[in-house]
Amino acid sequence: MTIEDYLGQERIGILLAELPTKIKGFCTKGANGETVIVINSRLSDQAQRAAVTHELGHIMGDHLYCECSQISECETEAKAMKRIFI
Amino acid sequence: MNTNEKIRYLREKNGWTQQELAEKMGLKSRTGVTRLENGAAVSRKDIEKLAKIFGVNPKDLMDDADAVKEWGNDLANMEFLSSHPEMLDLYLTLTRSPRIEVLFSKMAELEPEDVLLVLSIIDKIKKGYTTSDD
Repeated sequence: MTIEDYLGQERIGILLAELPTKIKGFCTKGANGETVIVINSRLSDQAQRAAVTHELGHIMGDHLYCECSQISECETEAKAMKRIFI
Repeated sequence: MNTNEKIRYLREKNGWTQQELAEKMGLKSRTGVTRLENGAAVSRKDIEKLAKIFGVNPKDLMDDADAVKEWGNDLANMEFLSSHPEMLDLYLTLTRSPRIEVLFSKMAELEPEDVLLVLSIIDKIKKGYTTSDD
């Protein structure tokens, strides 16, 4: 499955924005409960794609529904999951 | 930011030396403050005493939850956002939620100005403005 396939299937929105240079991207929930991935437009195409796959790892792991105490576990899981798209 | 780091941050923000803070705490020397800032366990009694001295809520001196840590320096963020009440409300909603609300892919700790920019984007997303035309 490609990234594009998964985005379409799960109706995930991607937004490019000029973020601070310290942030590659982030994901959150939108007004209607949809998931939105925000990617730093200052990144190269390759880095943007890597950031999208990382955020998709979070989405596939349902991390936005996890408890706050589990953030570090979520990061580890997202790193493992992004390999699916590479 | 843990309690020890917060004590140092608030002391420096107030422009006090360790000796001056020690005196405010009723300690004979600055050694006690040095220990508190360098990782010693801080008792509930000391937290309450320090909160009164710094003029903050005792809860603000306790270790930040992981979700708050994700956003950088919580105290500095709240102070900076106090002049942006709507964004402060959003910040508190996002960081004090029992669930993860935002997951970052970061390279370094966020500064308060970065937090404001991110919050303004999240605010638009939450309000349903997600295209560049908005």
